[in-house]
Amino acid sequence: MGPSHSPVADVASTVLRNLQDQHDWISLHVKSTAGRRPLIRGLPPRRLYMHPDDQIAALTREKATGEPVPSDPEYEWVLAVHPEEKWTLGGFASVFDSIYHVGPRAKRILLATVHNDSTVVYYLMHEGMVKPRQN
Amino acid sequence: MATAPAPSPARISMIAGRYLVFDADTAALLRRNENVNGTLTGTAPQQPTQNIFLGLPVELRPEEAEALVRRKVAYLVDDVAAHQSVLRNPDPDARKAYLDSLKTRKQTAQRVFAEQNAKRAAEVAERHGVPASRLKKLPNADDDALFSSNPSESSSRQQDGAAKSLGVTPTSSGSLISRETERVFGAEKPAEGPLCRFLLSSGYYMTPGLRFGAKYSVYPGDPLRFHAHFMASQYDWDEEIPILDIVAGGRLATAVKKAFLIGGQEPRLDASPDGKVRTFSLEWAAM
Repeated sequence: MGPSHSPVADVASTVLRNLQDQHDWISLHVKSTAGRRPLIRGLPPRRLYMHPDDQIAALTREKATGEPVPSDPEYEWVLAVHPEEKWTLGGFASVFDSIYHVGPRAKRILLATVHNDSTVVYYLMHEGMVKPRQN
Repeated sequence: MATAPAPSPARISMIAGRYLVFDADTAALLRRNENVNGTLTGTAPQQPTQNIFLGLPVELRPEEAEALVRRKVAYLVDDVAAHQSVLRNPDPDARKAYLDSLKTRKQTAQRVFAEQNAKRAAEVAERHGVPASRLKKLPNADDDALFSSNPSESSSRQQDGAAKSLGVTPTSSGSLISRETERVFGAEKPAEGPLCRFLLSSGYYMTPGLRFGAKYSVYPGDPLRFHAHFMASQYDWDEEIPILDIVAGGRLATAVKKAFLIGGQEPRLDASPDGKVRTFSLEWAAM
């Protein structure tokens, strides 16, 4: 449990433990700024997301040169929420605005929803229009 | 097939709160240049309940019509009011213009038909080795039988009821109403849709998204050539979005290989009319 025993902190700590114990994430910590929703930062065991265009390029490269598709993980931002909550576009926008990001691809967060039965579901949320992966 | 250049700006008829395009060339222009495909709503008069083979008119969403009017590529006409005004105040010039337009259409149909027949006859002749010169009279004979374009007969008929003698069924009464009348009976702009306008201006096409639980299916190109990339829903900036709706939308969209898109207009501090539209794409993270 976090020091500030609030529902938001509890949801965040549940997600942090789930990432750590079930999904083998490392270097996990909660980053909380006053007046802002706390975000979890951590490193997954393998690459969580690759843009479909990057994936096509990597596969073509693998075919041509034998160079394997990169799978080194990247640090991710995780926003923990509860299904009882109601968010707004403004709320999501302020979360994205609080993230510092460099790189060619759009900003992304991992939206983690914790149900009362401790189920956690994870959704990737991108800023802007990012086309879906070819699953 | 287009014989005349599509009229620009495009005419959108507002009838019973729906926004309709009756002209094929206009519908083609909107689809080609403005990435607005609309929904075909016209059915066959003899099978009004069938919904497999639909044709003109094309129905546009109110926010699509608004976006087109705002970009000045279309104008709205309150078609019921315009028709009532024209039909209740008969004007000989307008009547003549309308009859002339019907006549032009008939002549066009006749010409196309004659050309087709001539082509077919030439093909048959070639197959059977008959010299084409001997068959030259055939298409004209067919033509006469179908359209009875005998000059004396047609002129006498035109006098007792011009519309009757014309062999074409008009698909639109648009030419009955002059541009001046259209201007007088212009319909008011419907409510705007910032997300729809943003998607149109970014070059995306949209079809109704109800079957995927969203407002729009968003395509990166013409829906006949591409699969949809997004299921999109518009929200107001401060409208509450239940987290469960986001999970449900994200899951459903991922199941059909799309992303769930939410978006809306950010209010501007300086009260300028167009705030920035911000969007967020959601996908199942597969973990």
